[in-house]
Amino acid sequence: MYTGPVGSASVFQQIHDYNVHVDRDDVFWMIPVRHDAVVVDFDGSRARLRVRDLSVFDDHDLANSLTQGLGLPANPAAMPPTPAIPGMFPVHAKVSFDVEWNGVLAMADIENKTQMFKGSFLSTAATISWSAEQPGFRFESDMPPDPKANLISVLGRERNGVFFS
Amino acid sequence: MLTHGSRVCVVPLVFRFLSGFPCDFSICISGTLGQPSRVSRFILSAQTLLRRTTMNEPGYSPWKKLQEHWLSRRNLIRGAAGTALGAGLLRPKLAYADDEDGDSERAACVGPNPIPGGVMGLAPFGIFIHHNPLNPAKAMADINDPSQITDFDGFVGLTHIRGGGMGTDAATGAMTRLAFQADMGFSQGKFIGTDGQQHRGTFAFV
Repeated sequence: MYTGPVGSASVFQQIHDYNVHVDRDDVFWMIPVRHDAVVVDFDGSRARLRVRDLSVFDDHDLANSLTQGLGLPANPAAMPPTPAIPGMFPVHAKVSFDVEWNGVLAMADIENKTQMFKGSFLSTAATISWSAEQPGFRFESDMPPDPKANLISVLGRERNGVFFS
Repeated sequence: MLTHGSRVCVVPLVFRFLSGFPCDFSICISGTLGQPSRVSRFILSAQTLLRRTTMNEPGYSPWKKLQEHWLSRRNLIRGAAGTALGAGLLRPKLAYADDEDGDSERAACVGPNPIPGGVMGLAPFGIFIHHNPLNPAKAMADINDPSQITDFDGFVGLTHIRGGGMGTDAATGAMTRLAFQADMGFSQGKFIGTDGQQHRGTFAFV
C-alpha cells in the first residue's frame, strides 16, 4: 500500500506490506487455504480466489519483508540516489480478498526445459477487491474493482519439477 | 480441538488466537520455532561475512550496524519462541495437504518445496526469492514459471494489479486515499511434499 497516486508502487512511498512470510523451506508467500477457497474453470478461462480474515503480517514495505526487518541502506550510487529504508518490525493483520480471473487476452502452450515447467497458460483480465484490518488502521479497496487496474494476470494448468517429464 | 473439513487437530490453546489456520500450528510449530529459514541463514551468513570483512574499514556503514541491531532483536525473539509472542511472529510450517489416497484421518503438516528458480529482489542488495514476478512487457509465450512451488501438477493463478482504496485511521476516523499493488495468486493440485510423498493441496499466494 502506497501513499503515491493510484498506479504508483514505489517502495519509498510504501506504508503497508501484507504477506504470509517465507516459510522455513523458502517457499515464497504461500499459505494453505481451504480447498473451496479456489474455484477454477480453466476451459472457461475463469478462476476465483476468495479468503476471509486471513492472518498475515504487515512488514510495512517490501524491503523489510525481504530483509526480515532489516530495512535497506541508502544507495547514493543509484540514479536518482535512494534514501535508506529503516528497519521495521512486523505486526499482525487480517486481510480478506476476492480475486477473479476472467476472459482470455492471450494464450500459450509452454514447455520450458530450463525451468522444467510446461502447460497451458492464459493471460486474462482480472479484478481484486480486498480489505485489511490491524490495530489502528483499516483499508478497503475501491468497489466495484476497476478492471483497468489489471497490469497482467495469468491462469495456467501446469506441471513442473518431477511432473515435468 | 478445532476442525478443518473432516480433519481434527489438537491445538495448544495459546496459539489459537494467532492463526486462522490452527491445524498448521498444531503439529509443526515445535519443529519451526527458532529455526531460521534458508533466507534468514543467508542473511545471517552474509551478515557474518560483512562483519568479518568490513568491521575495520573506514566505510563501515550505519546499515551494517542496523543489521546487527535487528539481527540481535530477531535472534532474541527467536530465542524466546516459547512465548506466544515469539510464536506469533515466526512463520510456522503450514499445510492442508491430503494424502493422495484421500485418507481424511491424516492431518499431517506437510508443505511443498519451492521452485529452484526465481529472481534477485532489491537490487543492488539482492536477496534471492523463489518467485517469478509477472512482467507485463513480456510475451505470454516467454513467461517464467508462475508457480512458487515445485514438483507440482495443477492449476496456478497469478495477478499483478494496481488499484486504489481508502485507508482509515481507526483512532481518529481520518480517511486517506491510498494506492495498492496486489501480486497474488494460488496453486491447486498435487505436489510432492517435503516428506517426499505426493499430496493434494490448495495454496494462496499472499
